[in-house]
Amino acid sequence: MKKTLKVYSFLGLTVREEHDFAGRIAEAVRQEHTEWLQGDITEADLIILRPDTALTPILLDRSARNNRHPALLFLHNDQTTYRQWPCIAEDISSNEFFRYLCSDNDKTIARQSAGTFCTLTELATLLCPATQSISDTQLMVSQNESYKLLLDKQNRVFYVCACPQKTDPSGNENNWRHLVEAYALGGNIISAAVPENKAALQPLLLERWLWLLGGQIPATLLPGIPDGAEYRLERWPDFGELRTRSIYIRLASALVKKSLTAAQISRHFPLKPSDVVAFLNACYLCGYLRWRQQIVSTNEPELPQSAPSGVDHPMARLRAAIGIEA
Amino acid sequence: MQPLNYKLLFLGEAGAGKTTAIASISDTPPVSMEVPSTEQELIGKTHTTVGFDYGEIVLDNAGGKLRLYGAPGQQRFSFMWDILAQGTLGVILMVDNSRPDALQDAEHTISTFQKLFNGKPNTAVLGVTKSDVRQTPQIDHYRQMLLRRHLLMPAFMIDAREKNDVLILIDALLSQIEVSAMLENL
Repeated sequence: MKKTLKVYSFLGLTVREEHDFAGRIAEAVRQEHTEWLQGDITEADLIILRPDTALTPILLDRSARNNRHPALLFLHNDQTTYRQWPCIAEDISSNEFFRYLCSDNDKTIARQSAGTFCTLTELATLLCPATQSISDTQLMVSQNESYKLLLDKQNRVFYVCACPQKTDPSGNENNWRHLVEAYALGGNIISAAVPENKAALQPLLLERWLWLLGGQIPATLLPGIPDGAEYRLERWPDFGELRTRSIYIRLASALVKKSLTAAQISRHFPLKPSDVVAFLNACYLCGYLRWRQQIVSTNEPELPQSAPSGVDHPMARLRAAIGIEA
Repeated sequence: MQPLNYKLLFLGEAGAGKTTAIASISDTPPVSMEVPSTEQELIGKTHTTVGFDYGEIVLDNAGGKLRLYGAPGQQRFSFMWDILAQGTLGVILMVDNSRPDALQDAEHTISTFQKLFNGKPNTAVLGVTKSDVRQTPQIDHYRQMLLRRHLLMPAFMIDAREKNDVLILIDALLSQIEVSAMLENL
């Protein structure tokens, strides 16, 4: 078995499997090797894949067209479908794989899948010839109810497929959480449960979907958003479509005019830090958020504390009198 | 506590939804000076406002009101715009997205707004209506148009028949005023 593999990529794995593999590869690499980078499938020497997802053949075709023939490691035995590809193992167990990995004496670089795999047009043509047309404002929704292909404003591709172990019959909250977990891992391919309700497969405004997704990420800023920066909005979100909270309208009013840190936002708006993070994440996914690194000064004077927005201002009284809820 | 008394102006081309928006949120039946339109094909509706629309939202028990004025959309009534604009808290600009030249209409309405206040700062928000009838231009096209004019004005797609949609416009208007005062202290 050839042991000159340099780059690993995951394809069609569940979030849990990605977590498991990424963690164990990291552990193995740190024990035996020296580097840990992130890349995408087009650079992969080894792809660990679950071949029973619709996107797999497309991405492998893409790789082939670029004259890349990575070795494949199947989580299920499916060599008949991909017989033209060199396989390092057949239905290998993760323990076997990691024994193999750790026995490699070469310097090994492990990478997680990330980045855009192919253009939107290619994906649209290859994957969903019968789907509805793509626009800037609408999700592309496949006629196949087992998966969705979603595109965000940065042209990142999200593939969402049914994944029974992630299904939470009590509602969609769990689905959002797993989508978020996958996003936070830097992967564009997301395995998550598609709600049983078929109405959920109806076209939804992309901006609204991204806004909802971002709003479900209150714990940490998404990868790509620097912590401790000053944030501003490049433009106003379309709150007519987003149906968001009044406080976020006020926050947007501020951030289109002035860059503020998360701490300043928390100080001047009656928002919990987690709500601020959720707002920034939502704006980032929708493509509104810009930032500049804050110059750190140990002698930075404390900013004057103004009354939190929405407390004493006459407009707050007016808003309350009209019946607009905070 | 002093009663709250404020005034809002709705401005836009004929048929943009000003009358409907005021009717959606007014506490009292709005006073509307509408007559059968002689330009039905041009503006796409059977009646048009020739004086102004008026509605109000009662704010407190002390007689405080938010007064809502809708300016007549047609150019020949432009002499009224100056009068209606006096003392206004802010302006809600409205555009009918189903019109063939909706973006041009928006530009015209914004130019009117800017001339009306002669460069003096005044707060405005753009509400785009009837996007269910015609989906283009999209909100990004309006945003780009505003940016070309160096305006950081919010632009929302709304349904003028829906009270909550119109309230979002008002909320954005009030937020800008409120936040401007806060940012001065930062």
